[in-house]
Amino acid sequence: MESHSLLELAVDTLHVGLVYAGRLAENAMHSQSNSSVPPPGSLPINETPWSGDHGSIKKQVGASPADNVKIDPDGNVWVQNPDGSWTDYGPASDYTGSGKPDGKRGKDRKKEAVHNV
Amino acid sequence: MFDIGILIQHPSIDPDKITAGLCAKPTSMCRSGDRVVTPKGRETGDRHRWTSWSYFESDDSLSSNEKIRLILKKIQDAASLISIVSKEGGKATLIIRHDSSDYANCELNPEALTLLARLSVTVGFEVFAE
Repeated sequence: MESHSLLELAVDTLHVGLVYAGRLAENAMHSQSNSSVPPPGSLPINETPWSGDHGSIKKQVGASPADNVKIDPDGNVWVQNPDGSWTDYGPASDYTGSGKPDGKRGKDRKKEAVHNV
Repeated sequence: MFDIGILIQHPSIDPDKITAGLCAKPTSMCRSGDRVVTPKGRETGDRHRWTSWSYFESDDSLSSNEKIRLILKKIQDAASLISIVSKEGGKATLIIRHDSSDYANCELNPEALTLLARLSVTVGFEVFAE
């Protein structure tokens, strides 16, 4: 009787272990399929020095007005797809002629144009 | 001056099919599943999850309204393709962008809005000036 209970306990323990392992594997797969997200510290592009390049970058990566664009701490461009997933488009510097952030908004560009006349 | 264009986004469509359907050389294009490569030829290690195809009218001698008319003509001519894009979970957007401090104007008349609504085309506005 006692050995029967021990056997049942072992089977139960094994069952729980297998279920737990399955859940871990499932979580790992889920995590892997969603691993492509902007890393912590990423900011909306309009809050970064790349703000002046916002329109040009969006045009080059083919993003709609509603698609979020973020810049990660390493200067990479991340664009959100219509289904909510994200794509890493690489260094923002690769999307500008100078390789440097414009850093200007429309108002700043106007000031510069007036200054240059 | 407005920047006027059409953007097609779809989970899997072949972008060459869009190029053929809209009879236009794309301003930007990427294929779902392809590796992401920057304009300077650098691979990011990521892959495109969606196909994206855009075409912007680049002739700056045209007024914004003339640009809109040309884009609408392309949309009308490719009506069957654009309907399929919407039905398959994709998205077509007429993009109207303004990125200078200069005055600009344009309008979408009722016929244009009817066409866009019939084909489930979103109209997206974006202003980068302050």
